[in-house]
Formats: sequence, C-alpha cells, structure tokens
Amino acid sequence: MKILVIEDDQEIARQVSSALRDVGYAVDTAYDGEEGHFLGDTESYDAIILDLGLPVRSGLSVLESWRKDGRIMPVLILSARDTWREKVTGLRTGADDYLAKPFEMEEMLARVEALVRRGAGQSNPVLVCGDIKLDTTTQKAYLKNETLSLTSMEYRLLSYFMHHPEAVISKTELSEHLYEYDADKDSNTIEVLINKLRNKLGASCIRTYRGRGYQLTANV
Amino acid sequence: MFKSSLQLRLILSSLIWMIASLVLTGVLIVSLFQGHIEKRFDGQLNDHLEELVAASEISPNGQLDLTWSPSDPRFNRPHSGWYWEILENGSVIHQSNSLLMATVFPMGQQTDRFFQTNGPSGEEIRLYSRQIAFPRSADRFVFIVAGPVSDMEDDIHTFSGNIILVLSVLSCVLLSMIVLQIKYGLLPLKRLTQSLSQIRSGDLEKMPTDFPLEVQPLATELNTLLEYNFTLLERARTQVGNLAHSLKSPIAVLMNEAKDVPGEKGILIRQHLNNATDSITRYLNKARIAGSSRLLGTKTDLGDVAADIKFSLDKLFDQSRLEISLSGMEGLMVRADPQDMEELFGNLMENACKWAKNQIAISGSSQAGQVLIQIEDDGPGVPLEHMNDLVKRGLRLDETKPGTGLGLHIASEIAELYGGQLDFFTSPLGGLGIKLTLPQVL
Repeated sequence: MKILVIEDDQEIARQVSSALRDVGYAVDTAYDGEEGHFLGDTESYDAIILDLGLPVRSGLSVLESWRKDGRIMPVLILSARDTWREKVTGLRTGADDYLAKPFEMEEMLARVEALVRRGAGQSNPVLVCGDIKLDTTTQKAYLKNETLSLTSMEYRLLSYFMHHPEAVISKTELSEHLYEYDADKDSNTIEVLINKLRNKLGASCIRTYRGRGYQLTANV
Repeated sequence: MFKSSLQLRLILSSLIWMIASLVLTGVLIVSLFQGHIEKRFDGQLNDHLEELVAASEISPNGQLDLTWSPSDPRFNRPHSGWYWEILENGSVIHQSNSLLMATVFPMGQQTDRFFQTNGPSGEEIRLYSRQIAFPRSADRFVFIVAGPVSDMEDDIHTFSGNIILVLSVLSCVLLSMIVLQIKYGLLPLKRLTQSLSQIRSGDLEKMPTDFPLEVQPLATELNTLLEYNFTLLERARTQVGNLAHSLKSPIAVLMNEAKDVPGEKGILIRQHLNNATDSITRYLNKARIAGSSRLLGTKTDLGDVAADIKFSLDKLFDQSRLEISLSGMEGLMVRADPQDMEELFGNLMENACKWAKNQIAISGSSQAGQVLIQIEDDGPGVPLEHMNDLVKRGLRLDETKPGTGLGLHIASEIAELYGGQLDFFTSPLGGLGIKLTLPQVL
C-alpha cells in the first residue's frame, strides 16, 4: 500500500511519513502543490494526504484537477484551516476525509487505514482470505491464528494482496504499490518477495498466472 | 407633516403658488374685462346721446324740437333703466317715456362726464351728460343719457363665472400634472428606499448604479460602506485563518514530538500544548464569528447550510453506521452570515454524530417569526442535571471521546449573538435533543 503525503511543512511531512512507514506503508512526499499534483497524476497511490495551504499551487486546485481527470484515489485533507466552510468546500471538491491540525497521529493513521480499506472495497478492518488474516488496525498478520513474522516489504506485499483477494495483480501494479518513488524498482525483487511470502504462507496461496501476474486465493 | 414627506412638501408648495397665480390671473382678466365693458357701455351712451343731438333742431322761435325720438324701445319702457333727458337752463324740456316725468339729472352735477347715480326707481344707473350749444339759440342745453349699471354687471358676472370655471378646470389639470411630475421626479428616491430594504432583507447584494445624477452619490457611498464592511470581515477572517495556519502546524509538530518525551516532562509538555491548542481554537473561532444580525445584505438559507454539513458529515463519519435525516429545513431563512451558520450547524450536527448510535434527526419549522430547529440523536444522552453544563467552555462530559469541549460552547455563543438560543432536552430517540431558535427572515 502506497501513500502520497503533500505537505509544505517539512517537519510535519517527516513525522507523518515516518508514522505511515512505521505501520507498513510505502510513502512518497511532495512539498508543493505542483509536484504533488504530478505525483498523484502519474503514480498509483492507495491514499493521498493533502495539505490545503501549499506553495505554487493550492491543495484545493490540485484535488479539483485530479477529480476532473477522473482520478478517484482516496484523499484525506490535513489542514490547519478548520472552519466548516473550508471543510465543506474540501469535501465537496472531492476529498474523502478532513482532519484539522493539530491532530493526533493515531487518529490520522486510523483514518488513512479506513480510507485505504474503503478504497480497495473492504469494509471490515480485519481482512480475511482463507486461513490468512490481516488486522489492519494492529498491522498483524495471522496464518491459522498463528502470528506471522514478516519483514516490512513482505507485509506491504501481503497487505496489498489481502486488500485485493482473488484478484490477478500484475508485477507492475505490485511494484507501483510497494516501492516508493525514488526506490530502485527491480522487477526481479518482486519475484523474490513472492517466493519469500509463499514460504511463510504455503506455496499454493499465491498462484502465478504467466504473463498476467499473481493471485492470492482462498481456494487452495 | 410638512417635514415628514418630501412629496407632500413639494405638492403643497406648488399648490400655494399655483392658486395664488391663478387667482391673480382671474382678478386681472376680470378687471380688464370690466374696463372693456364699461368702455363699450359708455360708447353706447355716447351713441344714444349723439343720436339725440342729431334729432335736435332749433326752431325759428329758439325752441329746441326733436325731429324724431330715439328708436331704442328700452327708452319707452317705464323704469327700464334706460333714460334720456334734455335740459334747457336747468329745466327739463324733453325726456324719455321710461322716466315717467321724473328726472334723473342730479342737480349741481357737472356736465361732460360719466358718473353713476340712482334712477327714479332706486336702481343704479350710469349717466352721461353733455352740454351742447346750438348756433341759433343762446340757451345752453344739457343732453343726458343713462343706462342701467345692472346690464353691465350682468355681463361681468357671467364672464367672471366663466373665468372661474375655466381657471378651476385649469387648476385641477395643473394640480394633477404637478402631482404626476413630483411623483415621477421622486421616483428614484422611492427606488432608493426599495433597494435599501432589499439589501436589508438580503435580496440584493449592493445598490444599483443606474440612479440619476443627484441620487447616485448616495447609492455609491452606501455601496462603498457595504463593501468596506464586507472586506473588513473578510480581512479579519483571512488574518485569523493565517494565524491559525501559522500556529497550528508548529503545534502539530510539537505534539507529535512530545509523544516520545518520557516521564513528568512529557506529561507537562503535552498538557500545556493541549491547553494552548484549546485556547487557540477557542479564540480563533470566536474571532471568526461575524455575529451581527444588523449586518446589511446577509441572508442565509438554513436548508442549504444543513445540506452542506450533512454532506460533509456523511463523509467524515462512517456513512454505513450513521444516518442523518433532514426534514422541514428547506427555505428557512435567517438574517445571518452564512459562515456563522455553517459553524453553528457544523458544531451541533458534528456533536450529534459523535454520540449517535445510528440515527441523527434534524427537523426545522417556523412559527411567530422564529425558526425552530431540533437536532436529535439516539446516543447515550445527557442526564438532566448536566444539561446546563453542556455549553460551558471546555467542559467535556465524557473524556473518552475526542474533542475540545468547545463545539457546543461556540454554537451557543453564535446562537446568542443572533438573538437566538440553545435548549436541551432528552430526545424520543433516546439521546440528546438540542432545540435551536433563531429569528426568521420573512
């Protein structure tokens, strides 16, 4: 799962990104509206955290142009502007949630988690696929109720699969949602990761469709 | 009364000069006509006299004889007012039949002039006498012709009557023209008043700019004032917004950093940061309230506001869990700043959403110039003895829920600024019911 943080206050951007990474997200950061708009337009994100008072281009105009271009990823506005007029405008423009600064990091994480989940079409915070369970609120994965020990990359991969169970997902899509913008995207590493995950979950959980991608399935 | 209406003032003053000038005109015309009639009457008397003179002949014995009598039949009708007489050395030698042997010549009067006197039956007559000398007689003859003044007066009366009638009709026409003219002339003022009341009721944002030269400065000045008020409010809100932005971001950073500070120190820092946040939120929110029902040109449809807030809350809270229903809110108008109403409804409805299990019901109605809105939820509710504490600043009846405890406090402050109020009751839904009353715009 990959999140884009657009925030001009470097300190807040750093805190938010590190909190998001701590709970298993890949995070890209943009410090002005133009850069943020470009990233949101060209990369695939599972959620975007957007400040309104941005340099170069306002958050509202960025959001507006995304929505006009049919980009439907969930957007959480994180702003010091907390009047209802501003909330209504932001939400009417197409934001999915609005959090006013100062904020509790836990609340922000909970809201992002809910947005990501709803964006993937999941309503329950505990995702289930066969014997595999993923509690998105605690970031813990279970196999037959046994806690799984996963590296952060393995967790990201499993989390993406669990958000889209039974779907055939291409390697490109996986790497888009697993790696941060400036990371070295070697497609081989996806295969390595898949293999590691298969070792922990059981080989039949993840099917390979040659030329199309991978599928996490409950029908073992 | 003269002071109270410009229109009446103008009409009354025009009426005065109009009547004065018409009366003067009437008097002038009548007196001119009178002069003219007198002249004609005198001419008539003169004609009759000359006719008499022409008929006179001195006989060889020095007597004055009349070869014919004046033809006018009025001289033969007794006491008709038309008389003639010829005197010789002061005694009557000939006279008209109408005199019936009486005399009209007042003794001691001078000749060769017109004058008025009383006739034999007491009627007023105008009389012309002339002394004439004949070649074959040494005597002096005085010729006198008289006609009734009433003949002349009848003409003048008829004429005056006509003149009065004509002038009256004229004055009526003039009066209605004046009224029309004044009304037309004052039309822009009436429009000014109308525009003003439209601005008051919020139907118009600013004064039109197509007033006549004399009125336009007033409208322009008013627009400047309105705009000034508006920019003042906007500027204050922008400043507050900027202040909020510049304060809240660092506080957010500090709060997140402070989480990792262990022990007493961490608690102290977090506590003070929380206090600072509360104060900032409270005072910034207060500073943003326009809060005056005397603001010109503001009107808010509460239906729109509630719909906007519902839209937002549906997104902010899990829509599958909560259902917000609005009823009777359409077209409820209050004279209030829309942003203030958004804050008011946002705080009240958000509070309801925080506590509700599944259901929030918002219903509006209006009666006796008041808008009445009830916001109810099916949450745990508030015990009666605590209801009065709800609007206390910073008081949180349940510390486990997130929030500053400022929402209801700010809401009640806004309601009071607009002359309304908040009352609390236990809703039939089970939770808290809030009754909000605000003065309505009709």
